[in-house]
Amino acid sequence: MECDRNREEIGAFVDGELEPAARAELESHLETCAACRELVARERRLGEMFAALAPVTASGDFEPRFWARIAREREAGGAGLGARLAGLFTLRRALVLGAVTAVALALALDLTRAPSAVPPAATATGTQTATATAKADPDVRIVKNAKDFELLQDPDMDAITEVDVLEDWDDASPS
Amino acid sequence: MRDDDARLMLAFQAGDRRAFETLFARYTPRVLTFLTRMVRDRARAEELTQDVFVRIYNAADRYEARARFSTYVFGIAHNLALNELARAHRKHEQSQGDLADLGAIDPAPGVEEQLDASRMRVRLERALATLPERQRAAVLLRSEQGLDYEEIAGSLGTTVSSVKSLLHRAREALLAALAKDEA
Repeated sequence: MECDRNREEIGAFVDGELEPAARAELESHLETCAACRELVARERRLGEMFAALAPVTASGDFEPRFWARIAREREAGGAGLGARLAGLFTLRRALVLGAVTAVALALALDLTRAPSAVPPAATATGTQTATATAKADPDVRIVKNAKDFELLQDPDMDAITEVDVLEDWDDASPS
Repeated sequence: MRDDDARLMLAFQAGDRRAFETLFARYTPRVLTFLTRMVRDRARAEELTQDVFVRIYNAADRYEARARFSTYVFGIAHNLALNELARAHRKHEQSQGDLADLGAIDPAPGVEEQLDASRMRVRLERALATLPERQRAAVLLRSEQGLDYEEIAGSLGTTVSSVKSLLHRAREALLAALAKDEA
């Protein structure tokens, strides 16, 4: 037996996410539709299976390890703001951001002044450093354009994604 | 929107370390369970769970109670899980599996009841592993963690309408996988 009723609606009904009017209407439909009643029953059985899953428990030293890590970061970065920055700017990230900043500054100077205002060696060093870091660490991703670079300045960035690395800036920047 | 947990986070922001400890105790099992099912590696999930709380701790002074705290926590956990899975894909180039060949949903009722609880859990975990990542995250947040659609949408960075669709596809796929496993 089939029913062409929207099945997403059945799931929302089981989850208690339907508005009162829609819920009442579906309940009325269920009184006469065996196919939809079966769908509701199947969704509920699946929910019961999830309820039977055992939660994962942390190992015994989970909390001490967490506080030890926090303490290490505070020692590395000092109190207050320094501690927060320590969480964001690990050595690797500092290296990467330093390289990015160097290249960005070089680019800015290059765009606003004479092309020769930035020593090519300085730009190359920053780029090579970032590239080497990216290649050495698979966790590091590549910033390929100015928009990506702006994301690095998002204050919430560290809670959202990974810090990226500039590579081949010249390829992505306007000529 | 401010729930009790968000108020605790704001208290921690104001300097109350015990408030953070309460949140830590309250959310560690939930986040660890979610991440374990997402990345399917218990040890790695524990490291990621530590990462979640380190980020919350370090970013406390920037926290804003714009949504429920659970949305904030699971949003971070979800992003870390996706990063981890992407890393695993790059390293091993493992497929998450194709649901296209899992067959139609078995219309016969009652097959689950024929199995004992432990076997059923194994089957469900195996079926979960076949889901695409976002579907897996959505159904875990709803069916295991009890988040409502709005909270799930906030955690996954999507809309309530999209959550409804993700959940529908996830459950259809789970039921299909369970039926195939039974066959």
